[in-house]
Amino acid sequence: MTWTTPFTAISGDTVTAAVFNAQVRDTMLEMEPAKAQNLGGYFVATGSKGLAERQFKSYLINRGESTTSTSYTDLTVKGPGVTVTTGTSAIVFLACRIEMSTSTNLGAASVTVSGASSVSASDDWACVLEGVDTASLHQNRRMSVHRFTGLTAGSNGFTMQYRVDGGTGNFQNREILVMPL
Amino acid sequence: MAWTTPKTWTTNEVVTAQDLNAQLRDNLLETMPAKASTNDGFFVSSAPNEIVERHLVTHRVNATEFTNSTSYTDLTSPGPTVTFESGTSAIVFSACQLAHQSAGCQSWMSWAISGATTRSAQDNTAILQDGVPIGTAGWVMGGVDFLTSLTPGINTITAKYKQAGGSGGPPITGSYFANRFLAVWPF
Repeated sequence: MTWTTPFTAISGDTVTAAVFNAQVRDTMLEMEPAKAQNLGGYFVATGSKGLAERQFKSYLINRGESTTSTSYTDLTVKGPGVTVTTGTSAIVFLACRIEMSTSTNLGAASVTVSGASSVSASDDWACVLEGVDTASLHQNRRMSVHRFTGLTAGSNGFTMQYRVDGGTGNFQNREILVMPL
Repeated sequence: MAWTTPKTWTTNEVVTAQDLNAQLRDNLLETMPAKASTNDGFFVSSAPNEIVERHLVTHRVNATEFTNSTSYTDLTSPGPTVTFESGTSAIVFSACQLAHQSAGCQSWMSWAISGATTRSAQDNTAILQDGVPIGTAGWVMGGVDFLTSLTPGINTITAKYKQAGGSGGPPITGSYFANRFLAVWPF
């Protein structure tokens, strides 16, 4: 079924079952109450005259783990990550507590996309910590946000990955929240 | 009124007032234009085939205030605080300028939930600042969390603060918090 542009009734028109099915049944089936299925779902346009229900998804891993990798990598406990149905874009929020072994190196937590699309993790949308006095191993928890565009519509997985540019970085209380559009 | 699954009409069927009331009137009353009541409202699913209008709520407290409490507490000017109606989920955004006045001191901003749901402030979703040179203006930092276990109804979120690693009173030790902000996006 698809949305049919509402027609203008004329005096003397014969209204057929076909007209009612297109104008009433099929149009109603394209409206929000028909699309509403999941508590907390919200509605986005999928193109001209089309709606879909989307849902936020999030995941939090509290466990702290370390890496010395200078390219984005998984930790021992991979992620967090979520898989959602998207159109061509999604907004991703990420938050992480970062602790570095040296004050002159940075630690970064970013996001990679897989599934229908493929996007590598990048510093461009990472949470980054650098330049913090390392006496007593200071930690900072902060967030970043990015809108991914140009995605291939469909099932896409968003997973956090981590790197340093030297020393050892510890990452804990790692959280990802994805708003698919 | 409630949503009725749109029926398939058949040739020669007599269309009754009951049909039109259920299929047109009542169904249209379940759509966004009928539900729209307040500027800036947005719509979410509240059950299968049911939508509801929700509203983003925000609050800001700019006062720069101090604590040396090692457990989450209110500042002299409590909050910020937001009250909202939700289903089981909501997104919480927090932001704050954090600074401390002693080496080795951590500054924490989190938030507690009251109302339909009760939850104390937690570390794992807090903003945490540590290791910044003392005596500076500190950093403006943000946090985000997606709550998925709220009790539906009216909930209130209130920012809470603590420090760790410092002791004594101002102006030597403890943490300062300024430009404190909460935004809640309820679903």
